[in-house]
Amino acid sequence: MNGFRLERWILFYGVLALSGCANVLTASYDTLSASTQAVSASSTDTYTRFLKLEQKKDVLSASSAAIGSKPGDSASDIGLTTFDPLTEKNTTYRKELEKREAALGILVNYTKVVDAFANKDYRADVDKASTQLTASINSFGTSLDKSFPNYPNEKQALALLGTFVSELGGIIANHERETALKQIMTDAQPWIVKLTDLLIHDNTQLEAATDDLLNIDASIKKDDGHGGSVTMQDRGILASYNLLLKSAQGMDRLALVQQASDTIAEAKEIKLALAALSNALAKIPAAHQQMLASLDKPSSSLTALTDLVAEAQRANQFYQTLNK
Amino acid sequence: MATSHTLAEQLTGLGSRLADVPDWVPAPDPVTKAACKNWAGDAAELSYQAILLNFQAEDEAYDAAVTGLTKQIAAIDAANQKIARLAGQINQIAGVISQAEKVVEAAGGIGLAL
Repeated sequence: MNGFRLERWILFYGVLALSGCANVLTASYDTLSASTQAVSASSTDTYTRFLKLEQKKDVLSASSAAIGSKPGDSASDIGLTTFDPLTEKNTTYRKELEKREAALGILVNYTKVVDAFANKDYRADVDKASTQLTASINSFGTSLDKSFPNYPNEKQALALLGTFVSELGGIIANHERETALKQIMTDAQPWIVKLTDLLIHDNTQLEAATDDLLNIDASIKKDDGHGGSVTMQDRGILASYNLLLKSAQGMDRLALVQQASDTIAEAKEIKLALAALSNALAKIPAAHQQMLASLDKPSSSLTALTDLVAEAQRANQFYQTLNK
Repeated sequence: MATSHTLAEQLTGLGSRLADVPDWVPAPDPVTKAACKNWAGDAAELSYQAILLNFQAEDEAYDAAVTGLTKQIAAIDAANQKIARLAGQINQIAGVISQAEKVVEAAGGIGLAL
């Protein structure tokens, strides 16, 4: 192969390499990852608030049990299990919410790894190897000059070979990355849909459970720790406050009313936060799908990603407001 | 499980609505109203337990989704290593050229000697 033909090859692949670089919209992967992390952080905070509300319900329920009881009545005594949720032993909201938190963590990890993969500067790695190659070629050219001074075209061809390998390396790296991204994102899409659907469904259920924490008022049989059972009244937040208020007077009553008001407001805010998180979660699969489509058509719209950013910011702002 | 939860939700809603009927409304009478309040409280308890059991029933679905995504994370790692090997291959070419250089130097030496 002579030097001229090699130059044409290099020019052709050089243009191809540049066009290949432009196909992966790396900034969008940053955005997807950051938004998913924001949704995950806000979810953790909201789940924690729900668990605190549940704990408050149990404390209030135990406190209100003392109202109307006679001195020496064991129902009003505080024991190690007094504030345990009146639920089955192996199933607690804490355990279940931790599972959902961990699942969201995997989704966050996936977006982080995809982001790192899409943004990794493979070209720099290839260029580093190419620099070494060029040094070898130059050294080889000098040897050629010394040993075979009558073959200048071969020396030139060799120099062009170095550039060619470097460019081709860049092309292959970008092509491999794009092919892998398409395959991986296609395979991940149904799982992202499945996971976000589950989380959205469960957020709706948690909204109902938050209402239940306010409204519960039922007789529950509880293990007494001695092989028997004791019937206890499981009071929700409203029933407990109403009972406590009956025996409170003056400033105590005012303080209780204030507490009740704050707790009801907290429950409402938890429900609003869950709804905001569901809105954000609903945008993740669409954003992922649009980014996948943009690998084939870089000019395609990324409106779902923009929507996700807006919803994630809304959920995050809501979480910041709650923390004030 | 979903059916029991839906039923519990409906009972809670109905119980709450009946319990909220003002006292001056002739029916339901205070006794019925108190019963409705109890009903709403029981229904809320039932709903709360049903949601928790429903969460537990979803464990397998979560596990499947997590496994699916974890496989893709592993696939990204594999693709990353595959591309990283490319730089290694270019380095190998550099090595081959270095060997060729030695051969040429040796051949040149022989040529000059001849």
